[in-house]
Amino acid sequence: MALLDIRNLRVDLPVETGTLHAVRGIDLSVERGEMLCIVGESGCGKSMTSLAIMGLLPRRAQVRADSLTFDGIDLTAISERRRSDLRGARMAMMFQEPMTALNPAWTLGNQLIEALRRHRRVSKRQARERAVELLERVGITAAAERLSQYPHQLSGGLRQRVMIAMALMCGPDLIVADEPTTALDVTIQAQILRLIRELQQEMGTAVIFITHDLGVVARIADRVAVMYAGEVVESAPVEALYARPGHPYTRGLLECIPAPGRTAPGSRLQAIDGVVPSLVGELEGCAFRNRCPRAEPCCAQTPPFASLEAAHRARCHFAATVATVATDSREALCS
Amino acid sequence: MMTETLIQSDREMSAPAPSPSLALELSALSKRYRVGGGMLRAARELQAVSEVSLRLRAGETLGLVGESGCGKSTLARLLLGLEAPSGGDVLIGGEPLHRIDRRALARRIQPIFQDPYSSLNPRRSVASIVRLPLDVHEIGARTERASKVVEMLDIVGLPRRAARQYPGQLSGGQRQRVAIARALIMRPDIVVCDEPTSALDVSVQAQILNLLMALREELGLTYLFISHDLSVVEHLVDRVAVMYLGRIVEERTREQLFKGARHPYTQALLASALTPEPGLGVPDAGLGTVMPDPTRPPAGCAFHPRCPRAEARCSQQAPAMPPVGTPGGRAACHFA
Amino acid sequence: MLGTDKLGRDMLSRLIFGARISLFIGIAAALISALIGITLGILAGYFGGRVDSVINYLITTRLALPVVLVALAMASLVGGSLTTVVVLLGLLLWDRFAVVTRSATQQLRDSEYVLSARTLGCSLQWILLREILPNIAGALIVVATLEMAHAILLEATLSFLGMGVQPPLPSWGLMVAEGKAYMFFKPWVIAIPGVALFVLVLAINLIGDGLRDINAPDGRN
Repeated sequence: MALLDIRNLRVDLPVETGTLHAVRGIDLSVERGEMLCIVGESGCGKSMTSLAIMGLLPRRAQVRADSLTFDGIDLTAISERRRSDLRGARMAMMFQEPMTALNPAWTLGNQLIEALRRHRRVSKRQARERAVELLERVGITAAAERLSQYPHQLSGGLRQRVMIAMALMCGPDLIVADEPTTALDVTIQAQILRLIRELQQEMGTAVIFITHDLGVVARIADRVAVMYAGEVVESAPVEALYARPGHPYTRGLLECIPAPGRTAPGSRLQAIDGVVPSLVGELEGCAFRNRCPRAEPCCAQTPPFASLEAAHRARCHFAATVATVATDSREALCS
Repeated sequence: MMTETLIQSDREMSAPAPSPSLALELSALSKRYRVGGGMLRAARELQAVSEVSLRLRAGETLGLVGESGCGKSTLARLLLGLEAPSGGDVLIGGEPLHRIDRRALARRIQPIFQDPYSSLNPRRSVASIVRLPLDVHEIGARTERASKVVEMLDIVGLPRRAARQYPGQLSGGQRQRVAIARALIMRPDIVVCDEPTSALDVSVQAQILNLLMALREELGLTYLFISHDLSVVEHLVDRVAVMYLGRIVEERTREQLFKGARHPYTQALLASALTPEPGLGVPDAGLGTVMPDPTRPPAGCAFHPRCPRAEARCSQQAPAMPPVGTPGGRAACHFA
Repeated sequence: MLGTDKLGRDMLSRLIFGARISLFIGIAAALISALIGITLGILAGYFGGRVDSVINYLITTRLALPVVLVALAMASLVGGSLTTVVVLLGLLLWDRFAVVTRSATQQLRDSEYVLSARTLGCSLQWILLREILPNIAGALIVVATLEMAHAILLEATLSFLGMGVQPPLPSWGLMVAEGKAYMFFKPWVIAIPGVALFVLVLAINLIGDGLRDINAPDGRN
């Protein structure tokens, strides 16, 4: 059984002009020890999805789901108190800006030790030992001395490492990481991503990694879900997604980034014209059709998920053709 | 591909020798700040930009890459005349920057900033934002200005009805188009693009990069293109300068840099860039976790504490940077 | 309708005239203090450094002065009159304007649209008046309403103590003072101007709140 199973998740937010359907009925499942990347552009609902999983959405948000189960526990049915016990102990979160997750008034040691003792009955000493061990594991030198430092005394990269250590304190089954490396420099980003991937494989933790960066996804994901306008439009194992994208949006995303070897320097890039439709009010049909180069009249009807191959599904009437065309043109470009 | 290479090496040969066709020349440009001074603590000196020498030929695009805090944005502010340098000189079209009047400078060099959400005054309509340079410089009559605005909106690909809208009603990409229209309406020679697409979504990034490339062609612009995204830099620029802790550590043509970088820092940057190729995993560039304090730069080569190739002499002796225009590019490393 | 006071003057018409005086004093004092405070605040916020230090010193000095005492002392020195009250209050109530303007300007000073205005060669005056000021106007309007209410109350206090508006002008504070001798026999003589004062100040504060709400979403964008 999947560790996390989501069926038809919807998140609605009341706004001045009506109801914003931030997440419009998505299915996701995460296996134990798996790295699932959710990729999409701003406003596609990826962060809302992560917050809904963690139960951290603002109060005014309405969350509905046919099923939202974590390791057999129905998350929609349990009390807020049990939910918060679960958070931190079995599900942890990593944020883009570590300063929002670390309390500036507390020392690192305090926060790490508290993170563990809130959920586990261990002595302060044991908790401290665990903190030192984890800080060393995430590559922080002189870990014991660092425990008495405050977050602002660390550089951005080190803070992000501390946040990883904090997320791991209780040995969670699932980590939801919302763009944890977006604010970092490229060299530091590579280091942190390596670390997350290593730890995830070593400890068998499942990770939902949310990002907009297709380069990052390619290098760390086991499986990818592409989100557009509050929906998952394609989900596939990482190799299949990059080799045979079955949704025109995925294909557009992959083609609009300059890639050495594929795009000649100075040449015109493939852009996706137009803008994302407003998610306020109801949306009929395929949400991408106003920007899609292959849109046809039938796209006014909501396309079903087309199964392309094992575990590769795309929400497009023409998924099968798109996938083959994509292969051809990409190979043609590479040669 | 073949022709590309030929053009490249051709440009290289004609590179040195300062000529009047130089759009921009920086010689030993430096900027120091005093930071952290309080009642009890002595202020420390931050060398944000240190002896930077660069040349940009007219019509050329120079990429400036480096990580946050390396001084690339300070450099941009120096070029735009927003701050006065502590040392060195900037020549714009052969004329020293400090002798050019502020208003005249505005007609020759213009910025495009990173964040299209803060680069537009939220209380002004798009038309008034784009018209602002003409108003300030009192160019043309009223109707003339209005028609110039319409023309500019067409050039950057904005619908005419956008003129009456306010920045809050536009998407990120549209706002960046407005910022570009404002920067170009007085037809400057040089445009300083400071991370112009890093706040945008990838699909929009492609639109803006296409626009910047088309405008360069059409209007014969010279770009200083500041970015941390190496794939964007590789796509857009002719030459690349790499900055680390306020200094240029390597400068080469695009071809040379991406095929054969010589400075270990550039090599680490290139190795850390994540291209969308699955199955390769996350590369290990071999850099340590020690981050330098810019107010106390390490002795010797500033990069040595993180450098995988560092030896004893790197911590004692700073490597010299070959002069601007050195054929085949230049790198400040003992082992380059 | 509301009867007459001890000299047989009609309360209602005095009340209405009093409203005019109160509002005039409130608006005039707020305007003077806005002029002083905004000028100082915007200069301090924009230039920073020495200018900021000097202006901050001025603000601190002003905050160290007890407004009522200084106003009383000055009024007794110069002699109370409508003009004196307005000028005095204007000179004493600019601190909040300065503080708010200063911090709002500091935030905007390094925003990219101010930077681009500078690279366009805009004059200092242009940048301060056309780029920065309109964007902090929302916050300043709220301050202005608060200071207006503040000034009206202070005027009433001064007049009550005989150092403000001089009789026979119908200031509400003066009316309260005149009525205090009859407080126990004819309480309405004192209650009517008191209630009017309360309602006016409340109304101004509510307007300020409303303006803040209207401005808030704009400010966030």
